Amino acid sequence: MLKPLFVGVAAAAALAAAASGADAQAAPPATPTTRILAIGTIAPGADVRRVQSLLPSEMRATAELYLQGEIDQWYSLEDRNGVAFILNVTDPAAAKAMLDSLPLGQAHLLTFKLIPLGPLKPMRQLLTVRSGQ
Amino acid sequence: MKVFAIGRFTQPLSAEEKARILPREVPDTLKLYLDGKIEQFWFRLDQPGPIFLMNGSVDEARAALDKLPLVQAGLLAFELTPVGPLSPLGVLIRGE
Repeated sequence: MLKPLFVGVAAAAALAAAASGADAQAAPPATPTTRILAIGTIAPGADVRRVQSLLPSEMRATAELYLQGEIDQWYSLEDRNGVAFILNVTDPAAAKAMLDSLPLGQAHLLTFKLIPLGPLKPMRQLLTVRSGQ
Repeated sequence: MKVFAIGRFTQPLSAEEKARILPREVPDTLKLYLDGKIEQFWFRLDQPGPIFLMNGSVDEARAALDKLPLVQAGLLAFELTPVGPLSPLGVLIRGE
């Protein structure tokens, strides 16, 4: 399925290039997945004491993933109970399996939303628009 | 205090909107990075849109993003999630 922004940026770049008299640009390469943003939230109505009792083992297992290079960045959410990780994993299925194997995941107390990330491809526009001001 | 700003397009951009707005949107976004307001930036690959990790409060992030041309045009909307250090890591030094 065509991604509208991808086509649009290429179109905008081609328009700008045509306006400046340069040759039309070939389609840029597809954007690679380089990281996954994982936002984990505690299930509503979860037993808070049960979550707290699992935190030490959860944090040891999370620190292990960090030391193995799977977790690149880690944060607590500040508007609700949960975490946000930037993972050095590019396959969402592998990321889900990894996070589900953590203690809170196995207890079905923490569920993750996964968003694959890549380079901010609209930046490519800066390479094609002539800036001769 | 940092803020994840997860962007989504409210509707697909027309060719005219892309040609008119993107040439300003990208430099304005880079300026937010160079000014230290955006610390990190990515493109999300589940649906089109940017994701930023911004420095400061939610209100400061909202004020900065509201100036972007696509946001002003109502074409790009951000969900803001404040984050901080992973505080439960503290259990590893409290010896619990």
